[in-house]
Amino acid sequence: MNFLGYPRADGRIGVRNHVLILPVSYEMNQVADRIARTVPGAVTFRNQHGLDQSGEDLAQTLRVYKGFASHPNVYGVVLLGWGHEPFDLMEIADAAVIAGKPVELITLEQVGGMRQAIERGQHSAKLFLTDRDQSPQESVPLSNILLGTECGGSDACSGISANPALGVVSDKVVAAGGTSILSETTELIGAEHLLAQRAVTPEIGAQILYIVRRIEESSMRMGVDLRGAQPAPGNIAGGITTIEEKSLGCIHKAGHSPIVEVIEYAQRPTKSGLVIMDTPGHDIEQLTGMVAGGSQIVIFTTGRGTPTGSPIVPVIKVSTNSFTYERMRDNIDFNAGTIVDRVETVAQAGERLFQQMLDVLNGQRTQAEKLGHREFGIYRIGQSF
Amino acid sequence: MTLMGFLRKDGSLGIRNHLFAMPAVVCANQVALDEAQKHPQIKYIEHQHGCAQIGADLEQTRQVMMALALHPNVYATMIVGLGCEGVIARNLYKDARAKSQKNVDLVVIQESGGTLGTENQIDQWVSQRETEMAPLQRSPIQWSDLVVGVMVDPGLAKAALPQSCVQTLFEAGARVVLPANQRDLAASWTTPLPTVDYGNAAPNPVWLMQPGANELETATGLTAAGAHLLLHLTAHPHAFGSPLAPTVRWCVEEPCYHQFHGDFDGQLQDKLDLPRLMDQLAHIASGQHSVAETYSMDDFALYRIGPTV
Amino acid sequence: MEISGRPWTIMDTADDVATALMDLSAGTVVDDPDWQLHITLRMDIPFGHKFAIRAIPKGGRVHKYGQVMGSAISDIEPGDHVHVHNVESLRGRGDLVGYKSPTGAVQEEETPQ
Repeated sequence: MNFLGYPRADGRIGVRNHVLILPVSYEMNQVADRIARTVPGAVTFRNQHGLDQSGEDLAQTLRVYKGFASHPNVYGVVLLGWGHEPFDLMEIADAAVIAGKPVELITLEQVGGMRQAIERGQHSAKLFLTDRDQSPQESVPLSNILLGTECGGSDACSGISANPALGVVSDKVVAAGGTSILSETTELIGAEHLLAQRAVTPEIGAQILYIVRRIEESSMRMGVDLRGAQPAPGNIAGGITTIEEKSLGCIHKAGHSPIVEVIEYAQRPTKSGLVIMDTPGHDIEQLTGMVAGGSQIVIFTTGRGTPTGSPIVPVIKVSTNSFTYERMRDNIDFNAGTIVDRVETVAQAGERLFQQMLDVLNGQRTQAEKLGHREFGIYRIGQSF
Repeated sequence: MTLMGFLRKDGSLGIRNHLFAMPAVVCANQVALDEAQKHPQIKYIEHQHGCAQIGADLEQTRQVMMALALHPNVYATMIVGLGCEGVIARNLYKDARAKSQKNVDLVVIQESGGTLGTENQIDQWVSQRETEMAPLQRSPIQWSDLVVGVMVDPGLAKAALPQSCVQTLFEAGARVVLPANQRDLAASWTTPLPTVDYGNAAPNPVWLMQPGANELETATGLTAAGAHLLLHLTAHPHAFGSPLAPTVRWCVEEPCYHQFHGDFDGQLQDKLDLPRLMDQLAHIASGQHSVAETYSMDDFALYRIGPTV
Repeated sequence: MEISGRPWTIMDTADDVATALMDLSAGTVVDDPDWQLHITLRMDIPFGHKFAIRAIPKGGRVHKYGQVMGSAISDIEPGDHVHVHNVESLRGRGDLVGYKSPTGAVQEEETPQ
């Protein structure tokens, strides 16, 4: 099974060919926005991090920047720094260069002000956009795909319809030699024993239990019942009663494949197959982590309906029920409510979703891409709680 | 000069008449962003919060959002909810209406047909509110009607000139809110200064607020604390500004000012510059744009006190 | 698991609850020979919500997907709406001093708010 992709110098395959304006700290958001608004075709996002960070927390943020700068869906990068960030900007530029991308590094401090930074950025972005149109595309096997799976705004149908259908797709990607990421550690609470049994080694099983314990402890430190945030008010309105119930529905999106690896937030998997990435349940922090880890495509199931997307990765949104699909046609790509309506089986809906994923890999734009969604959020750890 | 501002029906007084699109959750960002691009008169924020938060951290986020929705420089706020978020937009709306006579409205994406349906509703809101706002005129106000948030580079709080700056604002009658880690700015104070949580206000003439973990978080906190104006004194070029409180940035170092003068509102060399600074602040309070406003800066970062779950 | 022709679904033989696949009114007779079920709904069950298919005593474990999804905080009768009013979570209970999670996470002391 093949699709049409952009081969990159580091051996990875892009399914999009973006020119990314990447602000590495909040100081450069305004400059990034001005560039992206005046150069049609360039993409950017809003960043509220990158300054006054240290230790593991900073390391995690840097993993996200490097993951975006070197991402296979990115053709070239305009890297924007203030000049006083607590890290070496060249480290991020190098990550992009090693991945074979043209990079322009601009700092406010060196370039002499906002106006100059905007002009330099516009110039480079235009240049990259012209060059990218010469990028060759090749037919490549599905084994090159790193699929991110996600659910958000879940309802009681998530575990019955959309997640099992996504599970079918995940298993097919894994069977083809590709990789699929299950994340949202909070939403594994109560289902971790089932996943640990699927780990290929006892060590990986222990890691699964460890990351679940870690996030449960970190939330318990706030001294409140997790319920209200997990499950969220919308989940509860949709019929989900406890985090255990949410989790037991959540894990269906990872199908039935064995779990070959557990990775940290925004890390790249080193193995093919089904992997678990340790992320919070927060839709956008999770999405950002999987994209930084190299996912070229994300399938996102939703019960209540969500409009979100990524600046550089197509996100296919799948509704768990037909009401939500009809109510949010601008935002939802695929209706798995057909399973609940008893017009399709899980296997049939899964096959249809798999075909839709192939179409999107081959260039079909998702609703979130059409609407220009650019959500971004880094999972912060070790803040001054 | 006479300061000119807008008197509001809720008894507050603003120096801008903003229309504010505030996403209650990250998932509503794009709607606010699209609307702000379509209608440049709309101020908006883009953020990553409002979901998967718990306990005191969730509560603080809710309070900051409430304070921004009711900010004195805002004429009308549209709260944009998704419908399943943790900071429940509908509750935020109800509480805001119960607390204040500010023009606060609500739109929920899941109940409005998705992104485009929601944006249509906001378009209508904009034209309705603009019609109401058209006849509004500024009227004379006093410095004592205004709150000024002051922040400086970490090393500068002990310096004489920034301290004189705060003293001058106080003598003019303005109320001043300072980040608690920069209490030295009010070194001349003989009475004890109250310290309140991030984003909170105190009734005192001068008060301290717990700062954020970085300067933008602090700027957001000072804005939520009710600052009409933000004064940022620094020896570095910066490119961020509050969407609601005009951010006025003066440089305290000669070479930096010369290199980056286009990014500053002025240079503060000695005490003789203070009348010029006060005069500029009065003009900006009365409607003149600061550099940050000419760039339509709309930066936001929230100080978090708990983990995402 | 495949969904049968009925407007509710049961995910596993060990389950204590069924999920409504459409809004069901109180008084609806749930007759499901596959699961040897014959009960009458005691309350309205909104789309996606759960009703009990057997009695669960207060403090008893509630099962869905064949797994524990929480604990009953009051006696639950067959046909009752099963939700946050009568089931609590057994996980992530930072509000309970002395709480110990199955993964070993412990809440030892009161956290100041």
